[in-house]
Amino acid sequence: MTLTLERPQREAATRPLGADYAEALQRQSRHRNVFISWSWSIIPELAAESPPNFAFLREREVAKIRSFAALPSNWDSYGAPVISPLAIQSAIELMQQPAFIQLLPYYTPHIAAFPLRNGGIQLDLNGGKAPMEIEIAPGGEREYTLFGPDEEVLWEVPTLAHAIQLYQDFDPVSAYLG
Amino acid sequence: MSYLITPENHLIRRVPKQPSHIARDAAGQLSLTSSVFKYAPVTPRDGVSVDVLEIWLTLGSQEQALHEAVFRHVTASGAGCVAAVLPAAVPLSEGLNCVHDPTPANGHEPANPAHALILGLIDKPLARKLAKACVLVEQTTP
Repeated sequence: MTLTLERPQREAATRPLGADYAEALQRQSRHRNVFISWSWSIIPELAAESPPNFAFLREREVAKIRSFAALPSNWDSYGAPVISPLAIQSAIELMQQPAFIQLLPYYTPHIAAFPLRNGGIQLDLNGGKAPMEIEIAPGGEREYTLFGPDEEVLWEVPTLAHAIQLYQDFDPVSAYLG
Repeated sequence: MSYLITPENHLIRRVPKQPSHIARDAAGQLSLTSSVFKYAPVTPRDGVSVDVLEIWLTLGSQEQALHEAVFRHVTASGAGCVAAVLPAAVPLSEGLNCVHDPTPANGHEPANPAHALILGLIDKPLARKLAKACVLVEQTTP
């Protein structure tokens, strides 16, 4: 009886500060994700990538973007030039900005990076309010474009802050139904 | 002899397997990215290179046609390619011009009698429409 009372006290004394809080958060997050998985499984096509894992997606695509540096010229068999180091740097910087996450849907984010034939990079963001493309020119300049249901351009802006503002204000129901 | 490309024809574009050019769309389905068709022409004769499937079919079976147009090619990084088959009706209906442009043999490549060009400015919406209209075909046997 004495031992069972003493053991937790010893453990608590050796645990790093905040460990209990972190554990509680993890438990809460696990339970929440299980609930989300269950509720989203009602809609099978949306359940494919839930629960969300932004850090994993971001790291996967950053690694892919880094690999573009190794692409030789003619990487597409049609004579495309090498991918510009400035475009690679710009794409990685963008994805590592904390605010970038605001362009993504919470539940089913689809991010994919592709090399462009002009030496730039394209990021495709799907699963949110509307499909978005971010084109990064060989010089590193970015262009954020949101598309409507007929692939028409809804808006196109050059800065992340502006894109976030427009994306947050965007109402797909009224935009799609007029 | 020049070949007139009509809406009934099919245009084949090589898509490298590495890096991948396939993305999940909003519905979670795998689809070709629009980056494959993004191209800003510098001169009026600049265009997106494709092969006309029907020209290759006059020389052999469908498997041979896809082999000649796509599967025998390897990118500079050593990756194989998949075939993106685009109905010519799509670029033609969008106001793009599709012209037969056979290429002679050079030191690296044999002659390509089926080579063609999609001419005209392909903006972002148009690139997305072309990519969406493609059917991807992968080599089933090595």
